[in-house]
Amino acid sequence: MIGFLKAGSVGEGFVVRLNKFVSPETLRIGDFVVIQGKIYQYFGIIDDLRIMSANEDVFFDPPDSDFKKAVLTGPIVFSEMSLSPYVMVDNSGNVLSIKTIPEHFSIARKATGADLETVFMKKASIPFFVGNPLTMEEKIHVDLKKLCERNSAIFGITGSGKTFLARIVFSGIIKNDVASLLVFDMHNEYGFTAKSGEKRFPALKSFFPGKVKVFDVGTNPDADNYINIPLNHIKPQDLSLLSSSLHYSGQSEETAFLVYKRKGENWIKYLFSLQGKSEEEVGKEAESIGVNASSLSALVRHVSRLSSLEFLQDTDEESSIEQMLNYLKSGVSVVVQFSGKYASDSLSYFIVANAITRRIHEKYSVLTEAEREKRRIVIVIEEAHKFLSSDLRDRNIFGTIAREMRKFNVTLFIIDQRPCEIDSEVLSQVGTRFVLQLLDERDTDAVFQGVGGGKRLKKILRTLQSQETLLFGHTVPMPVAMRVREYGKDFFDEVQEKKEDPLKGINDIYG
Amino acid sequence: MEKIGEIISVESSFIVAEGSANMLPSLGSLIKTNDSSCYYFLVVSLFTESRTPGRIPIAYGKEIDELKKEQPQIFELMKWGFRAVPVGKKGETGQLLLPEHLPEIHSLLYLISSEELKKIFGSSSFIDTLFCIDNDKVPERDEAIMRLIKNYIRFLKSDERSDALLDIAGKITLILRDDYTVLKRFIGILGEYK
Repeated sequence: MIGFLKAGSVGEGFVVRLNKFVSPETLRIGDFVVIQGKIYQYFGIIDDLRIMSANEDVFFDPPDSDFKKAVLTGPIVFSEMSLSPYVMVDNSGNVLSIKTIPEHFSIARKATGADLETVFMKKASIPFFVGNPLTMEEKIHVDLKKLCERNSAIFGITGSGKTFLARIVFSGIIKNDVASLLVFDMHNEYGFTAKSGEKRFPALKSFFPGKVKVFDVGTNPDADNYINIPLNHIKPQDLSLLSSSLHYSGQSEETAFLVYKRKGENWIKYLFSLQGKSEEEVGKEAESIGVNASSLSALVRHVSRLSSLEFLQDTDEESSIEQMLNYLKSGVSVVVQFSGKYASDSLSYFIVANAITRRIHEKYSVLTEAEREKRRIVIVIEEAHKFLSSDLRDRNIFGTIAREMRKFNVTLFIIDQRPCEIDSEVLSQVGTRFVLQLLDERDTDAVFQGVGGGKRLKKILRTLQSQETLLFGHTVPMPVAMRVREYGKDFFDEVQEKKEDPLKGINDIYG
Repeated sequence: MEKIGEIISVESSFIVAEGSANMLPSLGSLIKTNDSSCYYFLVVSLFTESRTPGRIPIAYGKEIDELKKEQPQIFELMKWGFRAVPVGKKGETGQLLLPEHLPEIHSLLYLISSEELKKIFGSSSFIDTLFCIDNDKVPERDEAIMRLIKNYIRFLKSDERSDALLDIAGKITLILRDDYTVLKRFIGILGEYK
């Protein structure tokens, strides 16, 4: 027993007075606590700890011996904790949302492993161990099926452990065959291996050689395939995303749409053809298609950077995207990695991610319901705020997927460090959030926007260290602050494919 | 059992008893009657007064032994007494109950034994009962309680003291939580026995 219920309400949470023998230092914000009611057990998280006094006079002449301190602790000075209650469990083990409150003096105790199992594991269709409560060694499981049903996100500053957590979750999804992942891997962290500091760790392809295919934007010889994007797949709205990389203005955007209207799918090819032409020649072209000459000239200059991207090819052949889609439909996950000169190149990343995702959207949205239900796809994007900011939400495919594609069994998994820059409408569609350390107040405000009890969760978030996360939303019955499980030998042994036929994925597709 | 006095006056909140010069209880003693009701009292003050109404002692400027030799009648004309407040009566199962009636006049009073004192302190409500004594009517209350507790602690074996002190101090802290000045004095003195 750590204390008893002193006050509280369903809306504002519970206040527990701590037993005099329980030092507040043995508790931590984010710990699980159970209030033992007469009919239900109430599960909550500590969101605040306070030391209090019943008589302020004590501070004018504080106790000068351990005996006096011991005597005054309890009646005169005491500790309290605030608790956010999230679920209640009845005698049959049914987990219910909070609808009532326990009586005064109900006993508060720390949650046990059995409690956590009741809340997090018993009702989960596909439970997967992702971490441990902050001060316990018990396991926290997420329901992977639920996780993939809606959009999800991992938010956190650089170095907070986003990528380790993402690899753990993705490994669970692949191992349990819950969905096919399409990972746009900007920094080469999800394919074969990943580097963190001086250490190198195995990644998804190493664990699941038969269930993961690596498509490379570049010439990495280890890749299973290479990305080729036909030039005619690039749409004016793709370039809107790249306005800063291409030094693109509003005027250029308008001109791009006009050129696209006149020249159709070959508009980029047409713009490339104008490179190196004289001002007079460009002027004539501008006149012939009805656009301003200087604007056309500027647009040609802006898109000239694209001509150096070797994966953009003047062809109608889209075998790599077709093959990628076939893999995804047959249960094989795809990591699109950016190697060589394209590594961490945001221009390439945005073009490739946008073009491929739009193609998948087009192809997936015309499938029959039966075909779609065969395989769920989760699209993983990093630096998501650059795709999903408010001013771009109507002009790129990721916003559409976030809002509309759940019914088509395609969902987004966002990994980002600036959630405040993501459109609030898109954020509201994120069902499950793993929130690691965030320092900027605007970011913390954004991740808890519209979340019940967000203020209290914010307090918990402030106490998190690197490799610790606050998980809440659709996947879990109640928020949970946890240490992300170690990305080490135990994890590798657990997820690694034991025996895998390297041709299995191919055979699944081609029979 | 050591006889310590006889009740000579009964009022609603205390009794007056007469003792003798060499057989008075000390302040803070717990005493009792030995009749079927078995009332318990806390001694809150001691006094002397003349047996003859209107006679007032005067100062002689001599040492006591010298005075006793020269004028022994002075001491025979004095009455030695004490006042005590009822703190309970023995219930059927030995527990202390608040008395509904006052004891009979001329009941004899006895000091309780150390074993009985330990038993009474074992009752969870005894400390509360002591502090129910009206401090306005009995200004010596806190001093008397303090002395009683000191006596009790002295009777305890050293291995029993630590828990007993914490228990008593804890109860007193709860009762006096709004009066830190008095509380501080209590726990300060109790702390000396730690």
